[in-house]
Amino acid sequence: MNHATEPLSDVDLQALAEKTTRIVNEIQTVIIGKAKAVRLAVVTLLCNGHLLIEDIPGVGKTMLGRALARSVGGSFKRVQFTPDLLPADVTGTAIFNPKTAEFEFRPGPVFGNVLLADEVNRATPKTQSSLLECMEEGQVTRDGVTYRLPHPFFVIGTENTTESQGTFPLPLAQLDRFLMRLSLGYPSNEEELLLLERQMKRHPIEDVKPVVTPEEVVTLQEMVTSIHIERALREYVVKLVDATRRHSAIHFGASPRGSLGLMRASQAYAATAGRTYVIPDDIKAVAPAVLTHRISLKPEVRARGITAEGTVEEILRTVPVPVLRR
Amino acid sequence: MRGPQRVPAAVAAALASACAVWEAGRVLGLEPFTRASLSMIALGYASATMAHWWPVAAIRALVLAALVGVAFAALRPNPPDPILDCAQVLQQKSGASILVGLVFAVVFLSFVAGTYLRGRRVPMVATAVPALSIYGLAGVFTSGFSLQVSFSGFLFAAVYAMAYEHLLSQSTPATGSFPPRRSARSALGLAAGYLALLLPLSFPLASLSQRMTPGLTPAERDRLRRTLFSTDDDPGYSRLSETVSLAGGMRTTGEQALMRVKTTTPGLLRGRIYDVYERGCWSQSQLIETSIPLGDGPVGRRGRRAARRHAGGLDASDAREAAREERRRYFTHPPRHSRPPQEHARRVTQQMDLLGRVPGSVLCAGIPLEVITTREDLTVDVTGLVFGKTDWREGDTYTVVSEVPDVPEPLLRRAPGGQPPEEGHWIQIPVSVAPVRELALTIAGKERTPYARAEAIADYLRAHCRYSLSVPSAPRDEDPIVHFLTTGRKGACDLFAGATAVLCRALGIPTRLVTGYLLTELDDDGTYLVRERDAHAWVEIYTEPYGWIPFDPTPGNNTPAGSPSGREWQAWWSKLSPRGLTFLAEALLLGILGAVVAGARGKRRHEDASIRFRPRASDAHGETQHAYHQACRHLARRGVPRQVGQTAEEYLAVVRESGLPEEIRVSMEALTDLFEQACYAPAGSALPDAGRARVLAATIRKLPRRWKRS
Repeated sequence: MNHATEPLSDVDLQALAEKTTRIVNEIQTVIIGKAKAVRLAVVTLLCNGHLLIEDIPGVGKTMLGRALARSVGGSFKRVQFTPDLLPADVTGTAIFNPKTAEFEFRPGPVFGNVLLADEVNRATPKTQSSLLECMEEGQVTRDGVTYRLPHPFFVIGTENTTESQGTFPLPLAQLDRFLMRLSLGYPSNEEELLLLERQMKRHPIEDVKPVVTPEEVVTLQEMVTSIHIERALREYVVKLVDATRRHSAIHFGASPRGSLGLMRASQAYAATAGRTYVIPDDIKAVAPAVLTHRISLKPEVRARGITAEGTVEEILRTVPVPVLRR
Repeated sequence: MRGPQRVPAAVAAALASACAVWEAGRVLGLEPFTRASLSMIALGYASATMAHWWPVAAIRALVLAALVGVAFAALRPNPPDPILDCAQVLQQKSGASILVGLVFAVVFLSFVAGTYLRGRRVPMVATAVPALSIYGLAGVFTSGFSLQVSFSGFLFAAVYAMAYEHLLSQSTPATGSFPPRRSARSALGLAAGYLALLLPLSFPLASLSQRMTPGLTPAERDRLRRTLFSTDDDPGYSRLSETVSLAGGMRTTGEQALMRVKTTTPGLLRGRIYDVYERGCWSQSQLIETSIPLGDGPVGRRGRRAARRHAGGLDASDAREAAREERRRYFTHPPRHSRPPQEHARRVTQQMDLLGRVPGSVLCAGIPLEVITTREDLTVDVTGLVFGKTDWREGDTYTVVSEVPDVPEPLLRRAPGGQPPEEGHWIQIPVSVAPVRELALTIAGKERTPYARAEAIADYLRAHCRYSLSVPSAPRDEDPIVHFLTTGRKGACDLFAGATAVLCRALGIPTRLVTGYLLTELDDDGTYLVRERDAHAWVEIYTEPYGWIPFDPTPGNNTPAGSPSGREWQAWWSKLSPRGLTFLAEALLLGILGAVVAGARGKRRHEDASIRFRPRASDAHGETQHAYHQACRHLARRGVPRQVGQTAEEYLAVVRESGLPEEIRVSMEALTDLFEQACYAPAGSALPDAGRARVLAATIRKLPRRWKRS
């Protein structure tokens, strides 16, 4: 991807930051607490990436998707992945229309701005791959006709890790396609109390209004690419990813897709903070979400209680932050 | 000790043990045994350190099996070329073999213990401690420079490996990704620093036991050595016995000191002459065996008076002086015909101080003319050598004036043969060596004179036979010399000399075998030290008119043991020290400081790369960065350091929580903002306010020194 040459003007940047903040705030009316997670989700959207949420049931994954879709004015589609789900159920099928005596293409759930793919790990690999193909290519081909997916197209995949019976866990190569992996977790006691209060009469999701249009989101996505990131910081990104490859406890580190994703995410993160340039803190803020699901640990270290998160944290702590000079 | 340090510690221990065993073996003269055990130890240690790798575990099992197998193999009867002749070892020196066995047991136990200790996290370098003390002990008994050289050599390798491994283990996996050039340089710097630090300490460490035994003169050292290693058995010709057996087996390389010789002429010391060779044994025939007592010469002037005084009961010092004055001077009056002509003869005076039991021969360079000693039982035989009936004891001393032939080689080569005037079997060879007549004719038939023929024979032997201390045994019905010339081709000086004598005799040259000692080891006080291993055998051939000319056919440095390089090192070292040693120590100390500083700086630079930097002071960005850097350094000195992996924001959070005064905190916040702007903002954006940054840094620098982090 080319690095946009002309810097963002301050006005543009202000607009960018402000819009992002509005989206985040809108979503936060529904999702209590979890400010960072929501922000990261918005960042993923701005990067044109896809989000994977790995979580226990009932913490608000669907709510997040719905709120996000409504706040950007886009359409929200939801698919519950089951073992008997067919690829056609995801992409769309051709239905014979007796009136026109032709096969008509009925678009599947992917033809929406925000797709919530629930329990991706429960579907068969064939179905999983059909979704991932859509994510990658942004189009569906059926009977020789190519149908483009809408812009912006944002997939939130969820994985329920409590049960592993009857699941097809996503392999590392396919986990790599998700830009970030988040985990919402239980809210704190105060947040849960607040949640109960808010949902006493009616669900707050009804009150979420679109604060930006989908076209504006596309513009924002383009603007993010022109956030300035210093060469030293790009080197820092590469060093981090390299460290994941060299760490003694890690079997496979992050791929170049990971470094690319890290750079993009840090740019978007800086934009949401209202800066035209990236600082190392942005990189460190997004790195756990971007890198953790791309690395696989050696089998023998898992017995020692070493986790991928812990390893990534250690890497962030030990790789020297660039303090560069011009 | 952490994982990676185990390997070099094991290496260090292995090398230390190896050197200790090597030195001990050299001291005690058990070369093949030492070689075998060394190779086993080396393999064993190597395999122990890499035992996690399965082929190496197999090697270790193989080594242990081989060790056991070799020991058993050596016990076979009549092995052709024993590398571990246990029977002979035990036969020769029981005390020495016990000590060597102990040494080996210690080394082996350390090997076993090291493998066991690996799981217990006890530092394996502890196994080097017994090896080091053995080093020192070995250093007491040998003055060899090679000891120190080998020790420092092993230390170089071992400490370097240890330091380097230590450094690598300290670097985290993440920082391993730094540019290889920088990390390797700093690693090398630190390793050199460790090395230079420990090297000067190694010399006192190794010779600690030497230092702790103060003022051991060479004579005292000899006595100490003797009390540990003396035996009473007769190991053959080296003790000037009545016969010289040329059987197979190991030749002695004992380090026991026998005497000290004060002389101006190094060279051969004649001890005994043999003229009959049969059944693999040189002996003296009846013709030369007989001897007559040496006449009484004029006694020392004050001798009788001193004897009277001594009888009257004097104190110790006077008695000693009196005893010294009771020396007698004997004249041998050898017949004129048995001596070289006067113009080709030279008189040599030698004084011998005995340090142990030696058979009572009067050793001298040539034909003894005068002997000054306190003994009264000396006899002289047909060949002109002087003997005493009883052995010399430690503390005895005698002075001998002898005549050596001094003929230039061209004259020798032209000298025709003749018949010696003394009676003896000078050209006798037994039937069993008759086959060598043909060989002798082939080798030297072209030459005309005895000396030239002897030279040709010696050249042939040097070209076709190898000097070795372990001599292959001849089959029961074959003569040892024939076996040596045809099949074995390996022998010590006795075989070379014996073969030369037999070959010369086959050509009709009157030849006789002479045994004695070779003077090579010049000691600090200018005297030559004669050890058991300096025993030597050579031949004397008869030429007209020069008489019996000594001729040494043995290749190499002409003694059964002792490496030439060791002696050269010794000479070089004695030239170098002590002045050279001081210089070396000073240079090393300076080197330590430099290396440590360089290494430390390298390490700091490596770690602080993200914190320290050298901004260009000219532009605004550089100045802002510089100001920030100053502020960080100032705060670090007050106890709020910035970590390697911390961003500016994270550091700011730490600063906020550290309880610094309000204005410092505020200044730091503003400075961090400016710094981030200076560092990460795009090129075209507004320049950071360098002046403000400087002001803020100045404010932060006002933090008093006494402020402590709460």
